[in-house]
Amino acid sequence: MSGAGHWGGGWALSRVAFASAVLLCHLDRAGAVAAALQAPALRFTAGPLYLAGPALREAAPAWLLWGLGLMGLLGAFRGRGWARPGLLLWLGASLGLIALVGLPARVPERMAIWGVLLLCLAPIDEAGLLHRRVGALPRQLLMVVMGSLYLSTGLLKALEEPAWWSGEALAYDLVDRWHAGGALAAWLSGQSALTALLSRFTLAFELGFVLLIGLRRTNPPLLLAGLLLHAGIGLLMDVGFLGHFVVALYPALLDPEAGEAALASLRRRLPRLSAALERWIDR
Amino acid sequence: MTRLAPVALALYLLLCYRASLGSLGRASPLPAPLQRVAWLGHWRMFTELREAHHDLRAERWADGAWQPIDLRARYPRLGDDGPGYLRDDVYADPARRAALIGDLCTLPETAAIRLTLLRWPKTLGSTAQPVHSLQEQRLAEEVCR
Repeated sequence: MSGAGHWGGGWALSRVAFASAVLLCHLDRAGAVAAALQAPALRFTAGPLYLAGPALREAAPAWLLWGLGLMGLLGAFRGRGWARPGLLLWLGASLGLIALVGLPARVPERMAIWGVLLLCLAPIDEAGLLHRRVGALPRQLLMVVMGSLYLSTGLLKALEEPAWWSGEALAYDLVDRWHAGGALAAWLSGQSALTALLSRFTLAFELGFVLLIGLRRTNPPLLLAGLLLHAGIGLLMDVGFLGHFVVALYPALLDPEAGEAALASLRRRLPRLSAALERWIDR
Repeated sequence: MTRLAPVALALYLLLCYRASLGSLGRASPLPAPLQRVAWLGHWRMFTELREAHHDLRAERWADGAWQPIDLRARYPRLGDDGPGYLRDDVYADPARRAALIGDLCTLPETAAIRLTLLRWPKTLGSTAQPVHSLQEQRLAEEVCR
């Protein structure tokens, strides 16, 4: 089971987790498609596409694109030879919805594009991944992308915004008009010691990720800290699906030996669950 | 070749970081083609201190008076940071603002459009966010052609 290269099971788990995250996002997008079709003339799409009138005003082609995306996701779930074409079909349909219907193309959408591209570079179409090693290059590329995501946003906060060190920037985000997450977030925004602590945890995680992800000892606790960070953001703010996409890719980042040990432990303690999981994920 | 791939990717993402600094105004902006190339790895999330809520008031000159335009009704789509027209890269960008005004000018019998940015402080520790100490900033007042 061990050997050179990366644990293939990480990619098998990430395929299913990522397809699940993207499915949630895609179902949520149905509302955005309906709203876009109601809007008269103008779209406010960030990115390389300039603000202009949408090319698709008719409902049928817009819903056809959405449906194609859903079909693609079913392929991604099915796995083997369906996985890559399915993910690419979803990506093509999504880009079509962004370009032609005017759906937003912000950080979560960009992360989804990276996720699809990296999963397609990985051997997600192969069987038996839970039990063998695969080439390390896709994981290295994923580490670079995730490292850049965290380091870039961490540096922007740490170097360019002193209010992130004091916790003030986080406190004000917790009462934002659009993405604030309710009573708990509002209460927390008034607790300056707690917001300072959470801010520094965020900065430490974001700045340290790129250094610690490649070390065997720090890899599993770092990913656990990332899970806590994204769960906290999900609890306190309504900021879309970025956290879902990122966390779905964590299994592929897990240290190979830690991944194999976790699987062996699951097999010992919960053999039935393990067998069912393996049948579903690794067929 | 494959050994160079992570290095090449890291260099591209470094360019994207530089683009983020440019878009935040912390460095000179990159030329437009490079900025577009850097879009895919451009991460900017919760980086700035935002102490105030803001809104955009739109009015049209019709029948000899300024009349309010319901922007939320006209552009109902909400992102996780609110309606698209409330993003600073829309209302603060002259070309995008011009496109917004151009679209509002298509409203019947509209002779001119006026846009005003409204800002009021956030209230920490409370779900109630009352509007107080309102500041108004005229963004544009343009005759429709």
